[in-house]
Amino acid sequence: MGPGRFARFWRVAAVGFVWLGCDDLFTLHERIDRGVHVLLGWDPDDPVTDHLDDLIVAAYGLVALMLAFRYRVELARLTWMHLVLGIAFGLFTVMVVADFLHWPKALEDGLKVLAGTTILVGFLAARLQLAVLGLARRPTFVAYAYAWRGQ
Amino acid sequence: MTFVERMIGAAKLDTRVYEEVEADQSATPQALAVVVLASVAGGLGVGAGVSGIVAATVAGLVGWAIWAWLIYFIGTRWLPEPGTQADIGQLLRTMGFATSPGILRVVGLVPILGPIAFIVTAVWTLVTVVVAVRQALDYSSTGRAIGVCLIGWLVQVAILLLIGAIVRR
Repeated sequence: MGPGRFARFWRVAAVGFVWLGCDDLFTLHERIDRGVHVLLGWDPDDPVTDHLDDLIVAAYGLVALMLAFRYRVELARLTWMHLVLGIAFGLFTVMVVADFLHWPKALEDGLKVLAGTTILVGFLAARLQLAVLGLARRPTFVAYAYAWRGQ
Repeated sequence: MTFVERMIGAAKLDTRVYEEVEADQSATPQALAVVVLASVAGGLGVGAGVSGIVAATVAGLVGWAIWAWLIYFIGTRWLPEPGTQADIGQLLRTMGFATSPGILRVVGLVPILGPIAFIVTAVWTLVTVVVAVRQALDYSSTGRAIGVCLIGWLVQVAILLLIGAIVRR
């Protein structure tokens, strides 16, 4: 396992996140859903084909799982990222509970911001731990600090 | 402006946000939510457990209320400017949103970065609080706002130390 192989994972993941961002911004999967219905002449209100957009989202998840499985050995070493993303997942769960129980909207929105920030921190943690593990092309000051602390 | 836009604007020292939340009486629960979230982020950042996060949140809320009241008192009674017109709600709202940068304390989850995150967010929050106080108290002088914040902070620390000493007994 070297930096080159794992770098491919991050490149693919980066493209995936850009796609997800565009999807959210331009409602791509809903547009694909409508486009397929128009192209194939399907009834947009058909109870079966109406869930095509859900299928597209599920396909995103499947691709992400396949990618994670392919690089599972490298990903298993990023313990800092596991911890931070685990907390982000917990915050999202609380956010869903807040929505379900009709807690104040400000708290729900705030939790969304905190969870989103925590996800970004998770990727920062991954980047920094990669350097500590010697799997990054360029070291970071955290790697130097770690070496200095003798950990 | 949405709640999230207000939080980002407050962190970016956007004076329009502070003027808006100062005038919006319905924004007090939003300000409370910002204080809670910043406290939760701080608790997570230091690796505290659930009880630690709850304690940090309670301390954050108490500190917010005490500091806002002190600044209201000092700013409107001792050091007002001719145009100063404020109530405690305005101070609570603007100062609550001023704690928005505290959410970045969650960066402390990453080893080594904790102390850096805390120093950066502490300084950042100090600056946002000064802007919040300046806008809420309708000051034209930033120096006066800094003075009021400093006096308020010193009195707050003294009160908290006193409470701490009483609790320890």
